[in-house]
Amino acid sequence: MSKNPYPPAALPSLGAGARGDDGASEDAVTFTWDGDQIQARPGEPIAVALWRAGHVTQTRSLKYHRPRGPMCMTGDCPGCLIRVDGVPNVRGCRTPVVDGMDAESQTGWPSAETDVFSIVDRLFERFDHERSFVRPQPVNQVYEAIARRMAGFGTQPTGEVATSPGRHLETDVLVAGGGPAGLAAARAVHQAGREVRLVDEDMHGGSLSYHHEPIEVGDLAAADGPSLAEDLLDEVPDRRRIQGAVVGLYEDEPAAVLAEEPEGLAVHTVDAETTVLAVGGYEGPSIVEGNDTPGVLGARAARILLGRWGLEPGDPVAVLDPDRQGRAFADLATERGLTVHTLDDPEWIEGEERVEAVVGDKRRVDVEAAVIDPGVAPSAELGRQAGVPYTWQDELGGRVPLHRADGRTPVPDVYVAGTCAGLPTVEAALVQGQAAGQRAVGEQPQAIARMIEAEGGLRDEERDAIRSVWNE
Amino acid sequence: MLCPCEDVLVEDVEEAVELGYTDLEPIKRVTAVTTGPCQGRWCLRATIELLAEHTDKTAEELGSITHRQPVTPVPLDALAEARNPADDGDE
Repeated sequence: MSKNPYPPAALPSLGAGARGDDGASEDAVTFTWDGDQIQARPGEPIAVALWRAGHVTQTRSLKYHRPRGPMCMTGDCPGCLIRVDGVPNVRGCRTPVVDGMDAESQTGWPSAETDVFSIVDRLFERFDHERSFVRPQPVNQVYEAIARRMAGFGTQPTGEVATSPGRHLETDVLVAGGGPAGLAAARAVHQAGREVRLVDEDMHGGSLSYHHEPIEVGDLAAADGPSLAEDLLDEVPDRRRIQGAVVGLYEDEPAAVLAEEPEGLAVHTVDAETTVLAVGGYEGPSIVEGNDTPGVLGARAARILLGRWGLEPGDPVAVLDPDRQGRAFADLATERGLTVHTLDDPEWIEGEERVEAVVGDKRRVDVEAAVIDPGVAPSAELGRQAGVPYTWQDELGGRVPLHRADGRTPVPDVYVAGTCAGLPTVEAALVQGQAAGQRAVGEQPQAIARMIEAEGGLRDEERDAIRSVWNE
Repeated sequence: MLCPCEDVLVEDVEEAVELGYTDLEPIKRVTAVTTGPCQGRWCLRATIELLAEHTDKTAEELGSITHRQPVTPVPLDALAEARNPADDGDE
């Protein structure tokens, strides 16, 4: 057997963690990073294994060649783009380690961790690459030649991404996203005896995979998120799940789904009567000096790192201006015995190659990691492609789709549920997902708005904002 | 740092606003914000908030960028092997 049964996907590398579960062995796996041997736990993503081994800097930035490390842990930032088995721009946080993998940094010379080009960042406080060295012409030619070598995202592939033939599928309901909302929707459709296709690149329950509190909503109850995810996944047959991502919605055309099939990546077209979007959302930067230093990461990312992968981002760790996600991380970190410093008014983050200290609240604290908490903004790509109207709501993380409490949108047959609809809690997502699934198959769920308000754990201002978006 | 993909600083956007670019699409073209590998996943909301702060437009008025298909990169080989939906479905 070849060393890598699942060829490393380029950017759309799918299925973090999923492969480890069906692996025959619990033994550590070994891979190489810029030539060094690294041990990893089975199933864990490359970015996590590298961080565990002390390699927080995994890439360099495009222009200033600043050191960069993982910031989002969901495949939505550039902090872990690496080269794996000759394929550039693999997302390390979404790609499970496979024994014998050859991983390399793709930016910086000789490597991302020791990059001579980082001198750019020291020479120029700000560098406008479009308007520098334009004249005289000979200088511009030399500059262009150098700049082209220094910038960019990796070099041409020498390895291949395995692909396989796509299929055309027809189904009653297509559910995009397998977090709490998507799982609850898929389960409701399947329970109603209708055909569902659940698409998720991870299949571990999204935000349930690192949720450590007991959950009880309606007929859904479990000791923690991972157990609930397991229960819900058990109710969606394997043949109804597609490991992958919905990559395009089109008017009057089938949806495009990029799927990780055993033989390689495939593009399937899916004709669905109804589409439920439960695609979650993204963190982002908090605007504070030093916010791109390796060791700065989003609060949700920190929860994923510690709650799902058992990796301490740092000890001591600072939590900067925490909101919902930040407090959940601080609670978990404290429970795990880490020293947590909370700063309500952070001024800047110190450290060159790794976070060393944070300054704010009239003090300076030495830390190994800094957790920022900008909140989670709804993912709007697919909703916008489907023609769903969006409106801005500060309290709900930015642009949110107009919809009803049961997930219906002004676009017939397109529903939204959970984080991508602006709901900030697992409980609310479960209620709305289940309602959307029921609606999608023609059932009439009752009093969903009241149930979300009663069980969703929303704050007053969130409840008011969501009411104004519900468009009832 | 506003956009870690393209190394766009908060100051870059502020300077672009001073030059007279106050809408999202021109800002995107002038500074390259939201145009890197993450396609705005990390930086879009912060960019809108920054523009709302520095221009006389609200976040609602600023709107958003166009999110074209595919939303994640798709290998051309996989696309070439996609099935024409006009053919008979296999299920």
